[in-house]
Amino acid sequence: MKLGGFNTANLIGGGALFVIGVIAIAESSTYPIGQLNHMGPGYLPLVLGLLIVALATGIIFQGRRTDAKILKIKPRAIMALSAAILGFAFANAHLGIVPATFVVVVLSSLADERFKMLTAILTASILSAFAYLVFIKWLGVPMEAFLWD
Amino acid sequence: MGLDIALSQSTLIACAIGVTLGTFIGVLPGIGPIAGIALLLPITFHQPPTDALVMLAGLYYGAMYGGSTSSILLNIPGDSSAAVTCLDGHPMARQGRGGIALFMTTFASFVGACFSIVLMAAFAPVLAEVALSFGPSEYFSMMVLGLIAASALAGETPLKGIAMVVLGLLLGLVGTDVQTGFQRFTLGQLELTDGISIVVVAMGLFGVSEVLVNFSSSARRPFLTSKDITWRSLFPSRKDFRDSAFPIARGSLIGAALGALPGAGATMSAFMSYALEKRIAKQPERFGNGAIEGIAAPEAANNAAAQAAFIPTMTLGIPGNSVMALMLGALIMHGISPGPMVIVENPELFWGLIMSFWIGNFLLIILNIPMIGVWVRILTVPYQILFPAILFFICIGVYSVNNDYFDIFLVYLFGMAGYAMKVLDFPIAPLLLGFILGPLMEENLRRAMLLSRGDMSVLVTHPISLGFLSVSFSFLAYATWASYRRQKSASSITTVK
Repeated sequence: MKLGGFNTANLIGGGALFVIGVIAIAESSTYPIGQLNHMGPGYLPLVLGLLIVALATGIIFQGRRTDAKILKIKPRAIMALSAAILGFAFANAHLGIVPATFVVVVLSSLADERFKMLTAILTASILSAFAYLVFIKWLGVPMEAFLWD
Repeated sequence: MGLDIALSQSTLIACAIGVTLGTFIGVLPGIGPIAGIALLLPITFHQPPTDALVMLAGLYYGAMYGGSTSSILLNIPGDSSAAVTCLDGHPMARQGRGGIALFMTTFASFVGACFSIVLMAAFAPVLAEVALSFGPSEYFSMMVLGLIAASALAGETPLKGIAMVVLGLLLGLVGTDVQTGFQRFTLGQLELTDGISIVVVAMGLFGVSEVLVNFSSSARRPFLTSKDITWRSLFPSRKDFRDSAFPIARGSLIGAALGALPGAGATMSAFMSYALEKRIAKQPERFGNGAIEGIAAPEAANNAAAQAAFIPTMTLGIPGNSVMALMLGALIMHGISPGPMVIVENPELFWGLIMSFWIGNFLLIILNIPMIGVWVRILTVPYQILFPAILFFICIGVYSVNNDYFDIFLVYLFGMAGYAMKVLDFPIAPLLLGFILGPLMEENLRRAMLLSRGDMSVLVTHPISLGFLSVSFSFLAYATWASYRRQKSASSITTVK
């Protein structure tokens, strides 16, 4: 895929890197830089930021000669996974590990069209039992199976 | 003497538990040896010190064996040092050679480990002295070599690889600058003052991203069904053994050398070993497509490094990596002060530990080869169950390290970033190495510059340092030339059409 003669993958990736580099430069220049024989906290990040900007530019322009190899994206999978992981954190914080397990397993199963609720629930049950026995009972990790406020 | 101790019943049991758990933890993506050891530490309170160390150690090097299993079968590393094994191990699985890959990595791991054990038993004090003679310039240049090597793994474009490495370096600097106490890039978040946990980066970048790739793809095939694991399909051919012999030897050397140096570790050894093999191979294009050298060498290296990491820890009391730091913590918990006197004052601990390494590795060969079927069966569970389960393990594993929800959020971010990189064809492995080495490189560069009063030539006037830098430069030159040549021939093909 090309956009105006530029390989799209390199364009997006290089563009993102460029932005990151600029942010790094901006942020690290507010830190004390010091000198080479007494490098301050900002010295190396500044150098690295400059390096990234240079490399990003190179990547964007190198893309002129090659074609982009972009994998197919499935928005459904991305949303399911995002909900699953973030949901896990939320559920574990407010509801305990057992509900959190169900959240992460069921939500991530939704990523696939051939989703079967029964399989997901079964898996979640086994895994949450595992989590309880291994992490809480045996290893004593500070987690709650169920949290009622 | 050590043998008696290692064979005593309680110690033997501790060893067995340690290595089995280690393999299990290694096989499971999401939970790595550090998490496992941290979790087991309180339990080892109640054991005699030798048993405690033996069990923790077993867990550590056991995980080095298991980590390659999911790398090969699922393209998700069980542990960061197994990340390199994904590069050729997974293609091998796709070609139906997964059983061979699994066998070879176990075998290579064993050889690497044995090499380091012999080294430790014979030369421990001497090696510690050599390790001490490395000054900051040498460390810095060695790390530069490691990073260039990692970016040379980028395959098509060194530019992308180097960019990823530099990004990794930057990310490694997030947090409190140890030498100045200054907080960098923390955006006012309390959780970031200690930097980003490596477990988060490794699991997010490699694990979550791979799960997402799998969710998004339409191809569904387990790479090995349990009936594929017959004894015969496991066993590599003569040619495989011959091809792997020298890579294993080289990997073991690299691993032992780097593992004994505090700061370098199993992951770095695996990366450098891979880069070396690729560089000296007669047909480097095979790498990334199932070259057996690409798994044999790094696996020998990471196990050799894991065993060798005990050398500075036990002889000098200097931990080579965070796992070793935990080991030292365990020693202190038992009232033993780590340092050069450990061999003298507690010989039964030192030699008992070394002997347990032999026993442990032997147990691991038994665990990993005949029981490959069991481990593989775990991973060939239908994907609808497998991937959500993996996600579960990643989430709970990451959470259990720091009990911090912020870490889960970070794992998510890194997962999405890793996914974006995979989609856009940017290599992720170099980023991990840059991340690990960032703070270390800065520390060494600073120290070197401090000692030389800002004179950068010190990096090339020290012979070892110069050596490392020259090799780095030649790697870089070669990679650039090779990629330029490839692009030229690619474009000339299209113009011919």
